[in-house]
Amino acid sequence: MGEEDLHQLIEGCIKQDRKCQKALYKAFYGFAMGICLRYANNRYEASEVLNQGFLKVFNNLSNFDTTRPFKAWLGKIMMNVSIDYYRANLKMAYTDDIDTVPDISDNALGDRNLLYNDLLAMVQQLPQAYRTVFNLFAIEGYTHEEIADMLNINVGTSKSNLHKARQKLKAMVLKADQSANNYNSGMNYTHIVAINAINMNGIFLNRGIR
Amino acid sequence: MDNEKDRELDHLFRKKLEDPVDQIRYEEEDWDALEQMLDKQKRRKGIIYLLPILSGVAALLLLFFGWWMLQPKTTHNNAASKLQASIIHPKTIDSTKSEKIQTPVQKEVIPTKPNTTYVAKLAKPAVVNHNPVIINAGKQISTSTQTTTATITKPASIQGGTDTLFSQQVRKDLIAGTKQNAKDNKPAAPAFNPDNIQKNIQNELTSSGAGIIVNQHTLTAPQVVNTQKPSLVNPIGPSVSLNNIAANTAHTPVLQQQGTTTAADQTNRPATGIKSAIVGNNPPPLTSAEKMQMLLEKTSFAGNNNNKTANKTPTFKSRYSVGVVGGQDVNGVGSFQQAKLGTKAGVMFNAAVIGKFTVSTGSVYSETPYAASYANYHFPYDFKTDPQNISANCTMLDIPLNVGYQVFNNEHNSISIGTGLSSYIMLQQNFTFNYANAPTTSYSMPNNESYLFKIVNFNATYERQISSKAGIMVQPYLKLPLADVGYSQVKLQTTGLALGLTWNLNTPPK
Repeated sequence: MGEEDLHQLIEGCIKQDRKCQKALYKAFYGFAMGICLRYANNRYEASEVLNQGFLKVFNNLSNFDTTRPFKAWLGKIMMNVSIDYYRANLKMAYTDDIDTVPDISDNALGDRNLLYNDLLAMVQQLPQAYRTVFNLFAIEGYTHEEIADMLNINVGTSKSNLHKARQKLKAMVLKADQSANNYNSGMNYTHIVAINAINMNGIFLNRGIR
Repeated sequence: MDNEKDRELDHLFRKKLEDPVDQIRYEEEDWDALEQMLDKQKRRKGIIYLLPILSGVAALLLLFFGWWMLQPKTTHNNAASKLQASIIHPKTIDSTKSEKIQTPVQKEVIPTKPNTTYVAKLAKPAVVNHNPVIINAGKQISTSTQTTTATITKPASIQGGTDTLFSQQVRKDLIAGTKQNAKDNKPAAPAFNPDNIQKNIQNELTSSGAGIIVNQHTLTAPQVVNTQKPSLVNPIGPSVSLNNIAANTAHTPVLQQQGTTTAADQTNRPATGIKSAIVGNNPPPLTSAEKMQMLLEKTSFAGNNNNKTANKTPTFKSRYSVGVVGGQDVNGVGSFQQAKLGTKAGVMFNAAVIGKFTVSTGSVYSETPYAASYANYHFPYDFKTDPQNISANCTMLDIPLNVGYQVFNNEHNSISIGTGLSSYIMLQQNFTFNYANAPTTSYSMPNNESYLFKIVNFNATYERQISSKAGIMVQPYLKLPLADVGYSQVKLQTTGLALGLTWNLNTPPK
């Protein structure tokens, strides 16, 4: 989809044309869902947040400055909606599914051959508060001050949450390594995640867009 | 060392998770869910935009209904006058046919004549007392009696100059009265005249001998006329007049003796004792005390009847009433473009003051959500980054002080329009700041700031009484700000529809 097509779609969406809305939704579904999945506990939650985000997009498309990249604007909205969702569920934010943080070995982490689904599953296993800070800091690139402002928490809390998130992720990466080794040595291992990465229908629709 | 490992970890996740578009499969179910949300939003928006219009239409309908309900009384009177005029017209009816048409004439002609005129005119026939020829001629008297009941219809059969003059005079008066009524389009005068009854009693007590009969006959005329007068207006009227005829001593017995059909016959109420007193010589005449008793009964009966007539259109009036109200409204800042739906519930007190004016006050708990662009707000501090849009939800107490005027009021229904001022006492204010490039932030502010008489109210109220105490009301209303209210200092305007139950504190008349 080129820029011109995108602008036509946006114009159609502003006129509440349902076909244009669906086309835009399909075109950016993968990108938007990727963001929501990182902040959500599971696919179900991510879908809910995604639709809230798109609702906001459709309602505010008339305010969108077409000279700016649409994808960045959409991504921002998805992130904001995800943070709103986190705020609405603050009671669950610190629920820790992993009781203890295992000792981390000094093995290097950089060149692990882990798949998207594996890493996403690890992030989703983090408590929501840790996950949100990790996403904002490690993937989105915000500073602790900005994160503290966005989440209405102290800077210290932000740093602490990030540290705990990293510790847990390191442990999970190493555990995955061990499992892979076991698999290679004949152990059967199946990692179940919410994403079906095999079906590629409709995933190249937004190629060529900034 | 740790920092380096952390960076490695961050890089690993960023690289794989940043844009995983190729990894995620499109799910049609997700679009279906979004489509449902879009449809729901569309319906809700439609309702929100329609509500102010519907409220306005409801208010206009109430006003129109009130105006329309005021009209029928006049129309009805016009119709009655026309009917009377058309019936009066065939005054040259042949005397031989008069018996057949007697009853309709009685019912239809008599109400047109104001009773005061009759009393004045009928004072003359008292002279008949001194005319022995007429007094002694029972048949002649009976004929003239018939004339008094049928009034104009049988002028030819009247014997005796006085009666003829009297009849002609009555006819003239009736026609004149009818014409006058038709011209004026005024409702007929009240039938019950205590003065007439009093005069009757006095005349009867002061008369003596044969003259009594004539006096009764003479006095009967105004009574018949008077009591039948409201017959068109009040369906109870004819029966009362017929009773009076039957109870009157003069005509009924004589007419019966002649075999003439009279109103009294039609009512199947023969005046037994009195008949014999007049016609036959056997029973003794009535004593003054008996007559007095009879007339008092008549008076009280006629009085009751006329009370009924007077209470024919009782109005629904409640001096003091309390009520509970609840409703939904649309709130907007500056306009209703970004209107949001709010709810309210509370208690009201209503007091009638002077005439049709009422004063009402109360306390209404309101949940008032509203949204507007940042420019409409005036926060007491500056934002680092100005929000694009701010939505708020205020809970507050609305204390109105309104004056109402009843534009329509009947037995069970009333419609009034009102205006007044409202004071807001803020209980809680929640703000949500929506940024273009930052996540939404929220701010709650519990406070109880008061904004006294800063809102002007306009409303129209339809109230229906469902029992002697309870009533239901529907009230479309509009609230416009006189000043900025709330922590964010906005011009908050509201329109909506309130429904309520009312309870009269005063005892209804029995």
